[in-house]
Amino acid sequence: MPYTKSIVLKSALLLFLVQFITACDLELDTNLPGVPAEGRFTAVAANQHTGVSSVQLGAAIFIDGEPAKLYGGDVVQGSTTNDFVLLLDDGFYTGSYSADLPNAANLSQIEFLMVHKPLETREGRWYPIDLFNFDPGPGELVGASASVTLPPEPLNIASSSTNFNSINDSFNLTWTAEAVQTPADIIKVRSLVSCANGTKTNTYGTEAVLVDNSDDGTEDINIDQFIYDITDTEPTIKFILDEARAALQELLIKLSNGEIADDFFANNEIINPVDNECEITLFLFRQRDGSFSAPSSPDSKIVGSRSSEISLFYNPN
Amino acid sequence: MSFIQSSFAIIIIYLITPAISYAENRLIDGNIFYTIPQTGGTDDFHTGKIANVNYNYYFKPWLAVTGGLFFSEEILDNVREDINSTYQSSLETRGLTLGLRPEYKFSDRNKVYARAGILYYDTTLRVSELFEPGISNSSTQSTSGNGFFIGAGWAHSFTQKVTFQLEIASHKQLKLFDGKTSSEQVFDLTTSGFSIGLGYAF
Repeated sequence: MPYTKSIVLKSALLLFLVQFITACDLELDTNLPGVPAEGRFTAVAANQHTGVSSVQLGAAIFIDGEPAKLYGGDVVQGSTTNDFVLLLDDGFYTGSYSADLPNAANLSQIEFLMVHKPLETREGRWYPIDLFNFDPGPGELVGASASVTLPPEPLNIASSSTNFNSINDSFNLTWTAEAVQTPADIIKVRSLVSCANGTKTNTYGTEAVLVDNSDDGTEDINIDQFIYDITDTEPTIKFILDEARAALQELLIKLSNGEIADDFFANNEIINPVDNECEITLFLFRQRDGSFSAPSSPDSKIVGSRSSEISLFYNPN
Repeated sequence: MSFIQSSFAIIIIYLITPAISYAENRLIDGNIFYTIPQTGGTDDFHTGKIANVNYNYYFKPWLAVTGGLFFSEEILDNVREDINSTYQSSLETRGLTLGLRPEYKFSDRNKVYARAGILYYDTTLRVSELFEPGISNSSTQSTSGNGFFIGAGWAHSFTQKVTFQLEIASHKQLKLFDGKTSSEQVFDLTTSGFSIGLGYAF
């Protein structure tokens, strides 16, 4: 299954948005895990992938554990000094929103602002929205803001090997380290794995457990961080949550205009990755924290990142 | 009224004068038209019903001028949701028609016919929005204008005076909300479907 760039990017942002918040508990619905039961909780992410002229933005807002559903024109706006975009699209998780912000100039400062746009938030309706434009007024969240500075793009990502035939294999991942920042940027390595047996394809996501998350330009990683044996009762692999699998399915269906069937991930016959050919798309994220204008839950987070990718191939035969 | 519509009306008036009297040269028919309105956008209306009553005057045995009125029930679009609100739109329409009705009788009791002409509409669009529990709104806007219709049907005579008719037709209302909104948001409304009805000749 060939993945388009946009599928890979959106999957990367989703994997990123989920992972920086959550623990590893699996849940079976579209509620964002790890949301505290009290107070305002906000999760905001901005990522620009190598070779892409836009920043993928995502935001999820919760009040007392419940999604703060925006209505009446309240919407999150993401902007650089050159451009802005409204986060109108539903994210995968209930209460989350997303959009792509044009950034051909590779600007690093990303601002988020809750604005009130009753007309723009009705675009896409089939009838004349200017004639039916009742405005209930701005909500309590309007005016809240946050900002993040994207770190430099991880350059020259390379692997000591790209073809593997055993889950006991390992490789050395390298990239150009950045000058030390205060606080330091951290490195995350996540994967989109697709395995096929000639008739079926399985996909899943993992996050590699690194020796350390420092931006030192090198990391030794084992293949068993991405390829596993389904008969192994204690795999070392760290999955992205099941919601990410469902999200990948939705993305693939959406981006293929429905050409990919709904049961793309519903494998009646489970493919054992360790026994089959797999393509591993590794995403290396260099990320740093941003800041909010108003007090939020201490667990709230805004993270900016830039990412690169490299493909590895596993074939046990 | 456009030049074409004016010309059409003049031709009809010319054809029906002088009046030629034929026995049972008048027919009143009433129909229920089942249709799914379409605006060419992202609308997804449910099936609705439009009632119409027509007066047909035969100035030739095979050709009548037909005039009528139509009025619909409230036809609902699907409930939708976006970042602004959960909303549902609906429309009601009414109007007048004027046209020609040629017929071909292929047996004692059966004939096929066509209808075509111009129409005048008055359509009301309603949008109801729910923002959150306790905050909602409903707005209504009306628009009027011209359009055209075309149809073809089969009529079966139960008696010399009473007929049953089954028809497929399409009505097109042009440029709704023209002059009230921007040109990009002006739209045409098409109601296509089938109707069943009864006619009474006299």
